[in-house]
Amino acid sequence: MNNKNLKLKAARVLKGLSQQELADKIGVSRQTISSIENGGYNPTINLCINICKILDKTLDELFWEN
Amino acid sequence: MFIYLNFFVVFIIVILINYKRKIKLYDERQRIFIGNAYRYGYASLVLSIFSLNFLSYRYQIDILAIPFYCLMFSILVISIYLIYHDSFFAIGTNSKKSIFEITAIGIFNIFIYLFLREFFSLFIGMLLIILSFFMYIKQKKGESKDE
Repeated sequence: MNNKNLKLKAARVLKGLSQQELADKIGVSRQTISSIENGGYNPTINLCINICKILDKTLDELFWEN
Repeated sequence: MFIYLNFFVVFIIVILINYKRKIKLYDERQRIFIGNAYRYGYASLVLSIFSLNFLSYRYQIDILAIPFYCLMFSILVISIYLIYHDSFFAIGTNSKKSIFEITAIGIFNIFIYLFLREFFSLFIGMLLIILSFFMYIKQKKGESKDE
């Protein structure tokens, strides 16, 4: 995943969460969220599921390429 | 004898300080970088041992100091790599407090050098101050990126 994950960023902003707040809820560091959004890190499926649960989205909606 | 006593006292102090602290964890991304950092650290350790041993034939280097320099170089490589990839501090660590602690220990070591003229203290002091400087810059960059 080299492209920026704009869907994740949009979902987070829509939910009214900062990177730090989302990171605290999932139990990861803020830099990890930032890396996922910028396409610098490819998260594991467990982390993807946790992010989806917090943001009330499905895996397809956040991580599937169009 | 005095050195061993010193190690023992420092060991006890570290245990007492960390006794009540929670165990801090790293997330999956940080663990990947920690693994890479140890790999680079090992490579730099082997290379520095080889090169310093080679240089010790040509130039006058204290043989007993070689392992110390090699270890410090390896630690420097690991630390800078982890700081660069934001994986040095565990989740929930107060990085400002940690940077302050590391800087204070560095300055304390430089003071020890000024009084005792112990070169190792100067070396460690400089190393810690360089590391805390890197941490500070990285932290400031990270704060500005938070959206």
